[in-house]
Amino acid sequence: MLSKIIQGVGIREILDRSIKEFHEHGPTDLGILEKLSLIKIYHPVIFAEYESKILSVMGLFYKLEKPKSLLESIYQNLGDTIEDKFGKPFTPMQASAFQSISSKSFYSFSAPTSTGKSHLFRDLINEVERDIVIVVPSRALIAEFYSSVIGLVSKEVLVLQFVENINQHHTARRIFIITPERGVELFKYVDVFDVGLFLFDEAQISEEPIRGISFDAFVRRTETAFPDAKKVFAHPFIANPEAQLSKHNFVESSDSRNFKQSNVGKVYLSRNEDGTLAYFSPNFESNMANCEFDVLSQTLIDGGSALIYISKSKIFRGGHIEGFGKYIELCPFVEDKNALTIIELLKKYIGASEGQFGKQSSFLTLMERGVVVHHGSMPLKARLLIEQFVRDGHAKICFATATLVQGINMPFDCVWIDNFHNMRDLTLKNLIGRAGRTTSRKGYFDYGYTIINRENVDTFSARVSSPTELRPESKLDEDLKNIPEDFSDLVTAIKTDTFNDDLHLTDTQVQRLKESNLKSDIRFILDKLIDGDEAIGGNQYYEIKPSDRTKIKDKLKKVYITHLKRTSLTRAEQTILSTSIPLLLWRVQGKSFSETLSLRHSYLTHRDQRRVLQRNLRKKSITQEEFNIEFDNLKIKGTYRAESIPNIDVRAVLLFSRSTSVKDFDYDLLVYDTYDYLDKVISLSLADPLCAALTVYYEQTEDERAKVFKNFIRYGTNDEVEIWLLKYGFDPEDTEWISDHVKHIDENGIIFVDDLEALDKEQLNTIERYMY
Amino acid sequence: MNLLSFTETDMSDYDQAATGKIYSLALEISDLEKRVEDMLEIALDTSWLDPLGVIDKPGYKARSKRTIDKITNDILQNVGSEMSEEFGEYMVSDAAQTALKEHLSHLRLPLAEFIKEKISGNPGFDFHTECPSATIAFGEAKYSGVSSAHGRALKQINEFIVDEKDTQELPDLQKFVTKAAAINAVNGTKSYSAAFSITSNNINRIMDNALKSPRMKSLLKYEAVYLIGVKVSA
Repeated sequence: MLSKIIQGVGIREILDRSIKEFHEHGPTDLGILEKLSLIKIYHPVIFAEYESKILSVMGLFYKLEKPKSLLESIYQNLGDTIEDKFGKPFTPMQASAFQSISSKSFYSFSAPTSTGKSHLFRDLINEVERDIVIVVPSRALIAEFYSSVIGLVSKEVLVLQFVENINQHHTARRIFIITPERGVELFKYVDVFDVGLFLFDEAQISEEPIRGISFDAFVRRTETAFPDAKKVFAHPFIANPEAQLSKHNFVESSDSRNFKQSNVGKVYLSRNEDGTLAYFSPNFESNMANCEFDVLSQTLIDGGSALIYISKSKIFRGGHIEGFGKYIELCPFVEDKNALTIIELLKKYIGASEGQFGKQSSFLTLMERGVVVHHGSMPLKARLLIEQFVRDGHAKICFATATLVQGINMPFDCVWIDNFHNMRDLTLKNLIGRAGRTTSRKGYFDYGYTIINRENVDTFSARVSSPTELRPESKLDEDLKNIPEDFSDLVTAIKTDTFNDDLHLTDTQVQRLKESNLKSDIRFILDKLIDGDEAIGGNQYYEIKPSDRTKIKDKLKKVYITHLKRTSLTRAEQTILSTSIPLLLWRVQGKSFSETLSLRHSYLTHRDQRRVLQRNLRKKSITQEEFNIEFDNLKIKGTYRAESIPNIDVRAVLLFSRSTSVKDFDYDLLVYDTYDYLDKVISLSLADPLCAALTVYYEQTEDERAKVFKNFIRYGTNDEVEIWLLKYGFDPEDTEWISDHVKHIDENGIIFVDDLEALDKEQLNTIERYMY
Repeated sequence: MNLLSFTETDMSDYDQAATGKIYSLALEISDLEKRVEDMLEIALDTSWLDPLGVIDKPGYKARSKRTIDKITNDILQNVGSEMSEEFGEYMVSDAAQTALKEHLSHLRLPLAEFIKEKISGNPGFDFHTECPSATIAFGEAKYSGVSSAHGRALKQINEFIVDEKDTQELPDLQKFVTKAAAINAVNGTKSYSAAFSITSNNINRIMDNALKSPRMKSLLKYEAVYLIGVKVSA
């Protein structure tokens, strides 16, 4: 079949039948979309004769030109009728979903990627007159939603990436864009907020092991707390979206639909060992057919872009550069000013430098050619900048792990899947969904390429064609016995509604902290680290005698362990915890990310010893040869990779293998690992129990220093204005200069000083939303 | 729709060995606008958008007004636009089916199925009926705003017979015809209908030309041939 199409045999019949099929069922048959794409690639002239009819029956009204045939004219009438009815040029899918959302209390739907769900959401956001809560699975998606929502609404609408009741004097309504975890804060304001709509995007998160439970719990609590708000669930590629409603008994005034209509065609290629490509189809029976051209090279030469899905460990080993070097070379150096600004911001943020020893970043070097690297250990701020870079169209190749797929709704002309081991089916479908961008180009049928390795063709085809279903029961209603011990507290608390929203721990965990006698331990830590309402500086910290420094670390560990059900940590957990504590203390001292990196870099690469050697060389007390030998002998200090704790199964893995010379220091690895420590270990594992213990301690002793320390752990500062600015959603890197221009700030609003002339345009842009 | 003329001729008049009949029907359509309107309604009924419930029917009707006006205008003024030709072909098929039903008691095969074929290109015969003696008539329709189209209709029928399109369509048709008709068709007992637009005012001459067309010759071995001329008047 595939070779016949390439040869042009029977293609007019395929085109005729496709139109008939699409007219009747819509563009739901992926096999037909695949055939059409192939015809377009190999027989563009014949395809063009049918193109506008095909777009018409696909319901892509925004792509239609002036109708030339009866069929086009009929579909234009249909499109116009929809626009008349809804006031917007919706596709049939968007119109149907919008209609159900308007008329029902609960709606759950599924639609493939690139079918315009986000457009629909934007319209809803404009339409709803009450407060809106948008729930997404990742912080990166928060950022993406935020940037599009902020452009839609006026200053009277408060748009925040977490829940706070701020700017009250100027706020007409609120839009919160949050993860389910951040959602618990919402219930503090049941009587204050007037939530009219909950939008659960990527609601298939309900299937994830632990997060699924908190998601379901959050959903149920929204119904109890805000019963008259609409609840809308959106998913990609879910066969039974109705399960999202039935599992919570959202039956009355509810509706659900699984839209299978795709807007983009896709062709599939397998790559042989020798690099040659062949078409295959996961959608219908066919032999493979050789593809005579290098699709990826051609895509890049034509100015297109490619997503290369690759494992994080392969990126860490440099496998992306090794394996795809010839494609990287096809990417020209970026010249766009905006692109260069993003690269410069990143460079500054991670403190990379071409000239300084061991501070060269390979991902930044790649970025200069429009090649980006994106994975979960990339610092969030860097990730957001990279995503911006991709969205603005500067990226030609994007090496990414599943994090990008979850984090950004971005299409590419070509998606290359290097390996999909351990990947969930839904991730795989989502990934393929990124192949082929839906343009609004009039009269143009869009398609994209998916490339996989030859040996994966069978598994790929099987996985792509098997339906993805949600479980019809919530995990909240299931047996506890499958939950790992460390999470059983959380699950029980969620089920029994005994989660302490203020302390972000369960009631049982708080109870444990209260019952253990931690007073003297915490007092010792505060005595050493907090001076009045300030934290001590780095120099003072190193003046503390080593035995006391060790004690501080041990006591912090003890406080951390207390909230757990078990009484000890494994060796690997201990190692990770120990490594994190200096970073925690740097955070308390207000170090920026680049300063933290610099400190760790110095430590791991023996900066002091390197300096001594250099001094000796300069003084000629050693020869160049001796210097070289000594330098070669300097090995990177052993440090273990960050991992989330508690996790009884975690293994301690060295960041750099033993006896790696400092000359081979990989700055990118340091960046990724340091971020993982700050994020996975400190923010996500340590901050909540430590802060809770400090709160309990304060309640027992009224020792103000506990509050100070808590603020440092939570916000990295104890400055009241800076903390308010963080609550207003400003970036921690910006709060310092902004606070210099704040006359007054509280929950009602920000009053800036009268004279803001010292600020540049970009700075004014940053604060503009809160200026009146 | 008016019947302007009806004649029945024995095939043996043209070929001694032939046993079948040739029926010539000339029709006149005067309610053109209504026909366009009905067609657009059928298009919606068969489209995937209808079950989604997002199309407001009165709105669609109002929206279709411009398309209706354009098509009727083009047809009445004999302007050969792509749109009027597409509709013209549909109209001729539909009129032929209706006439065969009304005047020769044929069974129409579902219009909905037919519409989908019609508006989406032309992979085979345009319309089908079943006559009372359980024979399927395979129909081909041709429309032209500028000249009478019988020649093209008969030519296409001959080509389809060579390509065995009728045999290929049988599995789909089986759902709609009687068992006897299906068996007859398999055994080679079948008929053909040639429907065509007439632009000339001398209708009888056109019908006569069709009857005497050299392309009729190869059709004389079948049960029946239906020649259906359709004239549009304002």
